[in-house]
Amino acid sequence: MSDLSLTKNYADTELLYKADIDDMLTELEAKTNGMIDSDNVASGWATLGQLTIDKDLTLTMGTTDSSSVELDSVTLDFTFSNTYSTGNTIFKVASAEVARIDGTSNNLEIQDDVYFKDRNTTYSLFRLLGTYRKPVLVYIDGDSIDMENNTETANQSLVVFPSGPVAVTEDTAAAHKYRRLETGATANGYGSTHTGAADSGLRVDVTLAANTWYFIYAVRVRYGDNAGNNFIMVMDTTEPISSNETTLDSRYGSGEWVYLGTVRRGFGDTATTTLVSWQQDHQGWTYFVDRGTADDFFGIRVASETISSTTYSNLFTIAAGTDGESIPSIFSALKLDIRAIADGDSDIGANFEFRTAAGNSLHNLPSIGNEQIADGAQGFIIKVPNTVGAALGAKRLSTSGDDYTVKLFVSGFLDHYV
Amino acid sequence: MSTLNITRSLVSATNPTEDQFDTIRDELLAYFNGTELEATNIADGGMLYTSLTLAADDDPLLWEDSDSRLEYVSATNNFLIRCNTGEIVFQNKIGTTSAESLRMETTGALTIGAGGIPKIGQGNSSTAMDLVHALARYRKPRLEYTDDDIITIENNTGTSGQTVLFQRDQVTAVVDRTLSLAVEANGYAGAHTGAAVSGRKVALARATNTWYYIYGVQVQGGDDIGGNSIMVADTTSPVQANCAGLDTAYGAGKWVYLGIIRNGYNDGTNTNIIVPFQYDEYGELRFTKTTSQASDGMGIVLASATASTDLDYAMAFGTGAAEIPVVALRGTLMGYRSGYGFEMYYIDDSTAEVHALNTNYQHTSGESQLTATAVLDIPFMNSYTIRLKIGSTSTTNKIRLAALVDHYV
Repeated sequence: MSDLSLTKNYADTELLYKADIDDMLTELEAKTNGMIDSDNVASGWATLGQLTIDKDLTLTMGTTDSSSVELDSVTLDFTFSNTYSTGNTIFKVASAEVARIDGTSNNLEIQDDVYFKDRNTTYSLFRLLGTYRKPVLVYIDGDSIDMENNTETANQSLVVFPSGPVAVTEDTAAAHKYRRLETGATANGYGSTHTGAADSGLRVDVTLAANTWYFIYAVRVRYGDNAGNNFIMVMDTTEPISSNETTLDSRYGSGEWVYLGTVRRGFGDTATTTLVSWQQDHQGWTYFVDRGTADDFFGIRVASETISSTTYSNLFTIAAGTDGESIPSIFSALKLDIRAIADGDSDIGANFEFRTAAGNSLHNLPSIGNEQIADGAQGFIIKVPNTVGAALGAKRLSTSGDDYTVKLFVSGFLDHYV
Repeated sequence: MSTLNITRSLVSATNPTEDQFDTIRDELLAYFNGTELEATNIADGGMLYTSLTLAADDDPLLWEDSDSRLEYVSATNNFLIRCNTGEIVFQNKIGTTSAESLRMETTGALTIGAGGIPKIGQGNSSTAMDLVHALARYRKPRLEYTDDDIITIENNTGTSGQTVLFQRDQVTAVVDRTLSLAVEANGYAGAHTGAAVSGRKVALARATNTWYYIYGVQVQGGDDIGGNSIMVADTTSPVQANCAGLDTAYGAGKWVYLGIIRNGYNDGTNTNIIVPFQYDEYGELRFTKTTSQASDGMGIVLASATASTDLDYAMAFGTGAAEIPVVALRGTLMGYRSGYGFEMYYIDDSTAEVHALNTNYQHTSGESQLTATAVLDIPFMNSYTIRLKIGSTSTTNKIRLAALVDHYV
């Protein structure tokens, strides 16, 4: 507002006329109505109980609209602008800078760490990058699976979902909602129709079967009593391959599931409805650590043949699948244990080969010996690529002497998706 | 305050009376003293402040009836930036062109504008980390063998001689990248003074035929505080049950496990030297040399005898001479028999059954053959025994630990 002049048209000796007064009042009105600005207020005057700004109007800082804050009426975005390309937008707590947006590069530069407030307040970005390892599956008994305690907090498991990290603490000796899966239970808490307490278990609509591979997922609890920052383990027959992701997203929620590993129920010929105990490492290998029956080796028996011919025949041919002797396609390599049973005298041994479907030999494997130590046993361990159609074959070196009975076990696998 | 509109109460061509002036005066007093300024009083663009203060705690700066607000919240002492319906956007605006640099979405996600990347740890210039680069390139550094007394740590960045560690609460640079088992570490405790030094944990003696767990520990005392770390050799393993103890020893969140090394072959001769090794990115530790003894296999001697009876090694876990470290989940054991063949078994003690074996060497037990070695790639388990089943001839037989997979690296 320009200075108030209150024009004086009269002299000291003149009578004061109405018009003189009215002119001054008119000027006063003109200067007051719609013309007040910061020149007219005292320093510190702008102390307000509330200041409200219309949409699309800016709170501007700087004489040339250098920075502004505005609520857009169309997008409803609340926008902070800095008009200097070389300037930065800086966030401070107390007097210390905690973050800045670099005006030139758009980089968000954070002084310290980043936390995922919504999902979990404890496990920061530094921590995840520095020390996080996806928890492995831990064998408990023929019907139960635990998840590794993978933090420094006892009985706690941390899983980083695409939607954010979630940690659950549960002593599985006392409870088994989250960190223990019992194969006889039905999983609850992942589906929109689920109500009540969460529970780990078999996915709804999946039947518990003998000699079957099951894929274990950590799934965030989104429904029922424990919905929120909790997860359960779900046992499924759907592999985590790319073409199944849409199905898994639909089933468990986009970004709300993480594949943990594969377990096997059934040793093959014996003990067909018990979990085959295992050790899973962080490198993707799972080694089986028990056998189905006496004289078997670790793992799943996929062949038991008498070798009598001097011509190669296949003991075991790799087929993709989740039941019987088939092998899940997510495995990139298999560990095979071969055991030959002979009578201990000087029988002529056997040769083995691992062949692709085209008949090419990938490995010329060692022979099983002409002779064994009294009361001894013979065999060897190999690791082979999990190639559908590839086969392990064997033949006798000679038909003289006794035939060999050969057993073949899948004693471990390298899981490409863990 | 409403629009100023003074009643013109004077009468033309007459002298105003005191009452008439009083009427005008009362209106002016009422207007300026009895009400407050309103928007109709303010010039467009006229409110230019050197400072604008909201009078009290919790007084908000609002947009459009609280659709968005800036507010100091006294209960939490937080400065609140809130958008009720849309999203919060930070942008650079050049002329009429706006470029978004950061968006806080309604989902809670933070989206960085075109070309921008998140950088963390900027408070420490030596270890400031481009997050995208870290995700693409960061690998926990491997331990590297140097000589009988010394290990180093991998140079895991593009900067020569630099090792960075992601720890639980910050990124650090390893300020002393050489660890000698002959010296004590310094700098990991608040009471430490002087330059940071990698070495054995204070008061922990170097022992023969012993496993040492190596930790990257933040420097918390002495000359090198501030985003630095050292390597400390300890006999405490990083299993979950020991985490609280390690937090006490090194500070909560101030340590990260790097791997294990072995001091001594347990061969009766080379008992106080670091056994040469290679670690890979997947946690597999492979010993790379035999001892000065004949070529009887690489790694640590777990059992040895010259006899005509089978040689057994009962699986045992710990840091001792013939023990396997508890961090080892599986690995490779090597059998050796001088001049004759053998069968190598992995036996379940409870049933005496063989659960894995290797006999890829044919032999006649009573006849001299080529010296034999065999390996078993097995899961490490309690209550199991490794057995070299031999013939009746007395020979030198050994079982060695050739490699292990470290579950905690």
